[in-house]
Amino acid sequence: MSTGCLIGSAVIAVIVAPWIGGLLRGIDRKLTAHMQGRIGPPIIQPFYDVIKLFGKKPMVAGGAQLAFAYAYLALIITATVFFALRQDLLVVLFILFFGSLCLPIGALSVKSPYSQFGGHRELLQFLAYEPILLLAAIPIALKSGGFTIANIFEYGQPLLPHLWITFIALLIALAIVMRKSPFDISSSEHAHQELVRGVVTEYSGPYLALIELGHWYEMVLLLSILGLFWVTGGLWWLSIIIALASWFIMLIVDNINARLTWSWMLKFAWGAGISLVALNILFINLGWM
Amino acid sequence: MGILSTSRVKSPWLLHFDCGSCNGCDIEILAALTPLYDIERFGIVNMGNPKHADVLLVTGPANYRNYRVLRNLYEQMPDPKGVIVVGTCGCTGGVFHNCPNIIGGIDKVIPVDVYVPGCAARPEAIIDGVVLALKKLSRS
Amino acid sequence: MIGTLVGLAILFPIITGLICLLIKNHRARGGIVSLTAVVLIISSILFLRQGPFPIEYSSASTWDSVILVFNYVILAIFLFVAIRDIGQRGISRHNILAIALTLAAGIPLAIFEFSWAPHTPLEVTPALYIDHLSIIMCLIISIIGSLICVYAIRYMRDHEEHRMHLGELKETTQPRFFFFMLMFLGAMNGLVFANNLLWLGFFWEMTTLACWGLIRHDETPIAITNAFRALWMCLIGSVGFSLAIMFLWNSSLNTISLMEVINNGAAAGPLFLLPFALLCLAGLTKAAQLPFQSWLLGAMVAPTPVSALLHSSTMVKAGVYLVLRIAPGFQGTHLSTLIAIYGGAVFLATAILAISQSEAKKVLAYSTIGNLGLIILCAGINTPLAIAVGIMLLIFHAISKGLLFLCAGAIEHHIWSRNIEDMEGIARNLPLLTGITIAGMLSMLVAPFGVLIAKWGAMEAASSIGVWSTLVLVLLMLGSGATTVFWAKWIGRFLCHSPVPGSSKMEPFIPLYHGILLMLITFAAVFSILIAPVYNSIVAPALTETGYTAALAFTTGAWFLKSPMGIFAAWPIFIIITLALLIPALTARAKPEASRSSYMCGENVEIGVDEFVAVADERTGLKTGGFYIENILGEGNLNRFVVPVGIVLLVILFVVAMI
Repeated sequence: MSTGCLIGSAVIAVIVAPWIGGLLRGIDRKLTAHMQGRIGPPIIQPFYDVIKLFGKKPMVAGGAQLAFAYAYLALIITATVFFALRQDLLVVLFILFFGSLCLPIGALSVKSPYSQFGGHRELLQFLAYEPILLLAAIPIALKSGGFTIANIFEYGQPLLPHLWITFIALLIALAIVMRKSPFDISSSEHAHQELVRGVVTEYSGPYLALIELGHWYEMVLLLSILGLFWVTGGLWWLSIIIALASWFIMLIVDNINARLTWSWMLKFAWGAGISLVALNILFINLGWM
Repeated sequence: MGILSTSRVKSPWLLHFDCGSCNGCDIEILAALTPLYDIERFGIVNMGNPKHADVLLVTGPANYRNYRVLRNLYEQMPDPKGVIVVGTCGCTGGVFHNCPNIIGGIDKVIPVDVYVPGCAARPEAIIDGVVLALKKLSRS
Repeated sequence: MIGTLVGLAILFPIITGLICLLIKNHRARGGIVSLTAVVLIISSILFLRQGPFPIEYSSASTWDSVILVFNYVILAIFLFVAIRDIGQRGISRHNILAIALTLAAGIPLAIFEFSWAPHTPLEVTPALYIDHLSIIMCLIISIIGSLICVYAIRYMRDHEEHRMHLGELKETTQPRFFFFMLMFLGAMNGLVFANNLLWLGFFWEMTTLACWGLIRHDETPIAITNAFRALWMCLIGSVGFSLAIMFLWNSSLNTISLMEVINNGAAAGPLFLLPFALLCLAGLTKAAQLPFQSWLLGAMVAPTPVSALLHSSTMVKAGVYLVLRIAPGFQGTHLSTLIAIYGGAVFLATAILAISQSEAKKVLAYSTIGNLGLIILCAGINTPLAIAVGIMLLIFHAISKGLLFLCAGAIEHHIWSRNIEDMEGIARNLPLLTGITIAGMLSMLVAPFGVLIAKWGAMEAASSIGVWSTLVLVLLMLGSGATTVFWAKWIGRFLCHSPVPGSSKMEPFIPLYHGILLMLITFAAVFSILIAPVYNSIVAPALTETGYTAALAFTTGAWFLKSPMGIFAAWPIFIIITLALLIPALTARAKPEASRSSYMCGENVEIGVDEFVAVADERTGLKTGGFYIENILGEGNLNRFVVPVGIVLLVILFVVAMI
């Protein structure tokens, strides 16, 4: 792909991603309501919410809180741009993690009991999903011959048949990033009130809107990474189906599960998630896959 | 209406505070959240945190024990915001109005926008009250 | 010219150290330390501009005799202090082990030097072998080490004033302190230049001596105990050294020249991996890898500049330097793979242990051990890419960790505590100092900085070593996650405070604290931006000279660094991330009237007051704290597994080396 094309796709990604993210959140709320026997809000409800939040008067409760809300959004957009520019997958993940890290640090920078709870729990979530995502980059690279996303496009075959074990592990990470039960321990996507919404307790108005926007980007970026598993070798639209299917699985998991403890989450993510990816790497190295 | 006021009307997040009512009105508020009334249809979500809320829903009479908490919660809600009083006690003090520990209606402590009388107020009336409060939000 | 520079790098700091020992005047001593720093920095930069590398240099043979004599003098000092300690404080595990291990290291060496060797002292040509790897180490030692010494001028004054105020100290002990500090720099420079294994061994003992002297500096009972622990643990490495020398001389190789051993190691016969394993053991003890980590943690009792010196530019870096140096000798063997797994295990274990620590310097210490484990892992992976990453990590870790220890020391001198919990909200009163510290922590942790570039390289390198890479990668990724948690948690503690009424005030600028800290953070940033030129000008030549193909490691362009499998767009990332962080950090300010108390169920009192109304309308202070999960991740719990695993891995290391 030419440089112009890549830059164009990066611009499009930055503009389109929040719309997709917002719509997915709206459909999520609608479907969840239906699953619970309710009618639910309109599909564009998340946009109403965010615009309303932007229109509210700012309010702060401490130190460096605000800077981290901006940094969170800015860094995750950066990660999206690097993804669209088909850069190194590990580098994209590192920037994404830096962005995600701004959220707990922002929460911890307020002297507030609930915010501190949320920040620490968010760090535990981070501890659970970061290694899975990083490790999942390895089998992708081993199979496609390089760590850059451009390599995956050049590989010419779908990755999913070889890497379905890794894919399952990535779903665990996706559930944690999307704040879905049973992993919504620091705060929930839905307005569950557990511990007055954990990591975002002390964020309000426009800053909460920034974080919500960042969350949409984050979700779309992660779904795009899942889409990479069938991006070439004909039937490219299957990548979109795969991403949407994973998203729908998260919805069902969310609705049939209760929240569990952080120690269970850590055990499950490290035990099941990491070993699945490790098995996949081992199989590739042994030439079985 | 501009896009901002539309959004305000479409997305009121509630904070529910009980100043010491008999819990009758509180049960009716929760009833409004059940699938039967399903107020999330209108984008209404019950929040646990004043910093995220647009509308404060108060039940029970203002009293010396916790008026300070009520005022703190009100101050921690970012502008623009509305206050709805649900139930007769909150409107005027109701059956408690002459008790020694009672200040009176909620409007003795914080400014109130909408009064929803009733003992207890019905869910339909509560939803009606929220809609009225939204009119105020859309104007601000 | 070379002779002069070698003299300036090795002898000059030792001589000025001796002068410091005689001077009682504070100002004069400060002047001498500063002069030494300037001379060392200039001479190391001149060294870099010398060429062509590698330089082979042999001095007059009298120096062989001098080193022979002083080597036994140092061993005698070890014996003397250990026996004196038995006299003063009775028999303990530490002093008995120190005596036993001194003898175990000294007697084989004496047998070798006086009975096996054809002539005493045994000379080797060249005595010094200086390539880019040595020069990189020399630059780290001379620049960062010197800056730490300059910082110590002010720090030790404050430190002693505080101790005199508490009545713990009657007269100044600074002459001794600066003697050991400067001697340390000289010994380290000697260590990285030496090619004669006897010389290397001598400088090795000299660093052990300086380390012992600095840890026990405050002469509290715990300091003395910990100093002896450091002594005997490092002496295990010396025993390994002596045995390696004897083995090499006895084998068909018949040499004690380090470069010959590395280049023709396999000619030593079927057991040729054994000397490498012994030298690695020496490196691992010095680098405080598992199960020897306790000496470095114990070294925390020393004044903070000592920790900074031990962790960034000297001592532990000598250990990883040796492993990196001999890595070409065991390339492609099972020993190499096992060292990679060992390094990964250390990285993971220390990262998890660090989560449970609430003492600032202990967290930094565990992070050091973990990062050294990462360097060892790179040496074990042993591809050109991995070694390049190892060297880069050596540089960036030295800068960042030196900076962080100095920050911890400066903070300690403002709040008189080392506990992270006591650092809650100090961003409010010490904005500049905490700003630098947080930048330093980010430089250990996140994307545009060198340590992360190295971590990225390590991950890509580790994926290319076949079946065992699975295990190495799992250890690496899990460790990487845990690392993030303890840094983020700490940053959060710094920033945790309520809104400040009115504008916050900057703390007074102390040149010897803030100035040096600013210099180091600038180094970290500038080297990260200039990663491509830095790689081309010093790391790539170092690779070529040690026998790796630099083209297989990184290729560079104006704005990127390209590994065989991936690409790191250094410049764009640096620019974008700096903007994404700096703009909000400098501009995002809320108006004072937007300030509210944090949410406390409506029981908050007033803005800026960390209190709430509790039972019976009583105002109660709000306390928040970090989590440490000590019952699960604490030392008491984890060390039961971590230490045996370390011992088992070391045993397997030797078993693998023997077969």
